[in-house]
Amino acid sequence: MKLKFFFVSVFLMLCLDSMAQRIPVSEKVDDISVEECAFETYPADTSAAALVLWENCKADIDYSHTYGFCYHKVYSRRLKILKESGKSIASGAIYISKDKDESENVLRLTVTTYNLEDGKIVRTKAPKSSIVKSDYNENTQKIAFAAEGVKVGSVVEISYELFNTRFLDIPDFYFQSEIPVNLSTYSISIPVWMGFNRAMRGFDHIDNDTFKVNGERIEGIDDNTHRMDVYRAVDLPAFTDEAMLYCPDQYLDAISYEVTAVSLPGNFRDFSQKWETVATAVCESPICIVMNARSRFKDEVESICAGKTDDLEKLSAILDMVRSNVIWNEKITLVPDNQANVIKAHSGGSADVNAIAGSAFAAAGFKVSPVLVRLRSRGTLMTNRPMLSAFNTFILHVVTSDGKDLFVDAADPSGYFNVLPENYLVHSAFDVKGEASFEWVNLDNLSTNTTYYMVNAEVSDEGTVSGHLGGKYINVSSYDFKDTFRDYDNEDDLYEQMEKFIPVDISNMTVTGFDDFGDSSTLDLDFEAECETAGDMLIVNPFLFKILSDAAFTKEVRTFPVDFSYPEITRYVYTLKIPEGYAVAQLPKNCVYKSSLPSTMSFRVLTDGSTVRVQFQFDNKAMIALPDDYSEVRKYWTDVCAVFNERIIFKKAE
Amino acid sequence: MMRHFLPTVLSLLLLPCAICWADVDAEVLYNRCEVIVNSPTDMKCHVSRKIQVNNASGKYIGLFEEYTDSFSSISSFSGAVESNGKVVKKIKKSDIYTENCSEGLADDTYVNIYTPEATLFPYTVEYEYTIEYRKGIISFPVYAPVVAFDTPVREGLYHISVPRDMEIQYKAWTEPEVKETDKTKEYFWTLTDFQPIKKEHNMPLLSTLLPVVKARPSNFRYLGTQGSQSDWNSVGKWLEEIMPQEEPMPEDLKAKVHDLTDGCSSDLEKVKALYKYLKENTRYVSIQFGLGGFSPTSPSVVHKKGYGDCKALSYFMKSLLAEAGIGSEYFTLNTDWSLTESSPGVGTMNHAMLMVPLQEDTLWVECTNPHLPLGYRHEDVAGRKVLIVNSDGGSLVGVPAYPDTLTLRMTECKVDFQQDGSAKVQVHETYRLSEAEPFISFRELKNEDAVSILSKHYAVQTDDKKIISISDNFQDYTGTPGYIPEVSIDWSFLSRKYGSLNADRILLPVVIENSHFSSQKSSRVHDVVFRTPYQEKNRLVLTVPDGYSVEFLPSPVSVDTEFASYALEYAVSGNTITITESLRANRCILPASEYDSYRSFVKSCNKAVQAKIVLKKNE
Repeated sequence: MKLKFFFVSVFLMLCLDSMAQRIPVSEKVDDISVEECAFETYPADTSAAALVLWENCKADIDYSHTYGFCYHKVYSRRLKILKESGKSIASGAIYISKDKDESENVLRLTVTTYNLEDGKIVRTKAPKSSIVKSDYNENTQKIAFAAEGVKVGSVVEISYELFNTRFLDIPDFYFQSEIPVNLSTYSISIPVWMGFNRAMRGFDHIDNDTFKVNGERIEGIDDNTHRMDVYRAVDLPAFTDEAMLYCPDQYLDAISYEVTAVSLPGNFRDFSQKWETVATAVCESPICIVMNARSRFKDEVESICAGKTDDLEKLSAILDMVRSNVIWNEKITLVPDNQANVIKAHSGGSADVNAIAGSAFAAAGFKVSPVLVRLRSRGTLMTNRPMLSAFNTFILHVVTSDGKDLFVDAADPSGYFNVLPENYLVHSAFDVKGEASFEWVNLDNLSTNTTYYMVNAEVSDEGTVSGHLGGKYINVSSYDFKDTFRDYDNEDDLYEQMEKFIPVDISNMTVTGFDDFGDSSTLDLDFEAECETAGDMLIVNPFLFKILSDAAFTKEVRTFPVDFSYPEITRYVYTLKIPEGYAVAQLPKNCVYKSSLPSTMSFRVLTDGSTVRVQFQFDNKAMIALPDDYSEVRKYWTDVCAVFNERIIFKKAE
Repeated sequence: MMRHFLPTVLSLLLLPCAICWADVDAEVLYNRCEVIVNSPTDMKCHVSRKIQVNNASGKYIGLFEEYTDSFSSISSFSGAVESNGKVVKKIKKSDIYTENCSEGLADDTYVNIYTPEATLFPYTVEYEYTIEYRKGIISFPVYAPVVAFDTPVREGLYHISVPRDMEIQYKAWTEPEVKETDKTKEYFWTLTDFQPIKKEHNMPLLSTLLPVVKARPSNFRYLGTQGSQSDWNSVGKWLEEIMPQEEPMPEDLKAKVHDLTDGCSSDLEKVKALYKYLKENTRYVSIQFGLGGFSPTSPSVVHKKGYGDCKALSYFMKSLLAEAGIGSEYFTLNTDWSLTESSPGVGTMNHAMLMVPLQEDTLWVECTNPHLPLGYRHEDVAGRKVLIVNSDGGSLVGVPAYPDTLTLRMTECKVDFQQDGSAKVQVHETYRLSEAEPFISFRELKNEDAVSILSKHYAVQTDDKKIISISDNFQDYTGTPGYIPEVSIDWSFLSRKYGSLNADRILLPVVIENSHFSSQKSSRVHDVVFRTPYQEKNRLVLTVPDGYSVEFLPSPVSVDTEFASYALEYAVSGNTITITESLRANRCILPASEYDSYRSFVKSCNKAVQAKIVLKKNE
């Protein structure tokens, strides 16, 4: 039965040949042309060490007498080795499940090398000794292979069939790869009695079409028609990571399928989801069950709240109590265990701590709901694809008695109310209000995040600049400061790290807020640095350190968006006493820079005759910059960073 | 008076210890290891370890991690996590996660891991387990009770029990207590209150600071073979014995060798031709299984498959050379340290290469990475002692090191500065020896990736980057001593914000490469060890734009110390400013008590590189 499918699909693939790949290839396994072996460079990327000449995956879901309903694919990948460094891709491994219920199996794995020798193709098939099966771990088997006789110019083809019974869980297909792709073809055949959604990702054009074909005849099912989707991608560039990207993988060219229903005679199962049904599922899941259960800390909560009138004070004290009883094990989880188990272990994942904290807040009379989050590092949430598995974790939404909305990750010790780690700052989080009831909430603008530096300095005749720096970090800026430095609990280490951050000689340093549950922290230190002296001139750098880095903007062209960490206002005020006997010879120019982003910078230098005051303010509300805007954003960023090279020049008064 | 004085002295002695331990993230309460050798092929290793984790930073110190392979397995395991005197988690063998730890084709090594869940601090985690070894004993498990920096060990015990007639050899921080019974000989190493080791940059080798026992039987049996490791010659003999059986070279390969070499006019030409053949026809694939971890697969297999590991590829090359009438020696080495006369051992090495004596020079050929220039001794082998293996057994030989002054990075930048603050920069860079290594396959990169690598060295923004030319001598080895791989790259870029313009002045950087030196603020505990000599020379030639003249040129800087020297000099000629920067790091050990001199050196360098040249508009 499979043959029938594949004959049809090959035919259909040919129908999509409107997009001709750069290197013509035979679209048949083990049918390599002399031309494929002979060519030496890939014109679209002449520096490529290797090329995917043709990757082909024919997937189908159907009934098999051996496996029952199953997912089946026939896969082949033809690689061209173009440079010595490309030879390493001629080895690889396939990982399959050892779970007997899933019946996963790889069949007919062949690894063949084709070399052109004296104008003829020499075919070397890897024997069993070059295909090694081993247990990777308890659940997974590894099938490692190494192609034989590989040299620059070789074509290597890997082909196999794979079966498993996870037919409701269709794997994504990635057209793009870490090396360029000449041609990638994918077809999937799904019976009409299965409903599904599909979603394409990536920046490159993928041609696609849909056809009807006949599938396996199954007793009791009248309609054996399948819907076959066919995709064809040509000349895809090698995928390369870029700086300041939370989730590079989400930009790979790929196709996803999600089964929404199975409709067989006498057996209809609806997997389709609306966000309302996801909300109901959350309510019926341990997320709400544990949160809504009677708090194990009810007595402690009562005692904590006694005599307190301020809601924030109550909430802080409750959270402090929960955290002292249950330590976060630094695992980010979505589904909590029951309260008793977690409290007994004194430890739990983020879901455990949040569920217990939620229950404790509720015991104090607060309205609490779980807010499900897809972390930035896992890619943007697709709001058109409702599913519970889209989320990685949840935080809490607490409403105070005066109606104030507070969002908190109860697990993270560096966080606070409305102060979340940057990985959680997403535009759409799923706030579950009740069965079939939810709201989308924006977590990226919960607070105004500020970093404020005040520096008072003086410079001696010999060129020693000394003074005091005071820093204050508020909200996510405080989270960031604490998260960066709190692990350096030893004073020596802290000094060492701080001197890397602020490269001057530091003394009398104090920090506050590291161990407090709060929204702010401070830094105070004395410093000493040397400025340039020459004859009758003193040249002073008003910036003790570079407040921003332009390291992420070194590339001239950008393929993917730039992800910014969090919106922040940074102020730096530097006041320098004019040294006795000197006059200002040169001050940096005032400037204001703006960009198409919601971001501005102002730099002002003032003098009143006895002091010079430098004021730098950078207000960045942007969370993302698109590739089309990159050139302009890069110029803006460079202009902003250029002020860190400015100097104040004093000259001895005559 | 004396009566009062004594307790005071004692309490003062204990005080630093108490303070130190109160601050640590975790402490090893005990770490005991008992090795019972039943026969030359079977042993059991019983380990009991208890760690107190004081805070979140110490959590990783409490994890369980052991490696096993097809000759060893964890036969029993139990553990517990205790907090506030209560057991909060009993750890069972089924809690251990086991995973194959290789991405190679065949490797039977598995890592076994358990990570305790955090509970209320402090908590203790305790493990008791037995690993059984079978089919041969080449060495006993290494005993290293100090599991992390800043982590004290209260009590340590390593006990090896061997049959009375079994000789062992060891390298340990102290001599063991030895007891004999009728049937056994027992060795005991004990440790009490070992103080935490602080992690610092450029610190001495940990092996010189930590208590470690590496022990092995002098005579051993392994997978049906037997050998001795009482000296390097014996180690070599065993390695030679397990080499693949000599078999006739396949005819097609034989013909190929002769085809490639018969017309060559010298041995060097033959070596070059066969090295090229090796590069073009083989690749590295990791295979570590059984005896295959020590002996190469046969040359005919490598020829057939076109791949092999370091041993197989070296041995294959040896056979190619032999067919061409060129003698060579297979040798093994450790890429992390030099082999020493006093510590012979079969399991001491982790790599294999080939030595080829030529008429005027000796080649040390890296067959696993045949891209490396012939005639170059890479960093993992130069200056090291390695083990030559041949029919005479093994012998340690020293691979010549390069003079310290030869490793070099040199740049010359010509800066055409414009009045709008931008500059066109033409760069000529030269790299030698290990500095040249990253550029061996540089020509394969596309312009975008190549210039991206080069521009990472620069502190100014770089646009319109273009490679102009690349030249190297990677194929120029002539068979005489003194060959130094070198590459030169010419490229250019535009910097839109090179200088700061302000009214009638322009501020220009004196150094455009990223060059910030760092040092630690805290007092130094360990001596500072400068292991890698290094030399950098940068020259920046700057044209003063029309209408401007130099108002301020920073003073020259010259700092010369035993460990390093740094100089920044300026010369003005007409409208050209030439800035010459040189840095040299020497191989030396600076006592901890003199760390201030290093810090002061760093400060001087940092101040020097931050200086600015001031140009002023002519009136």
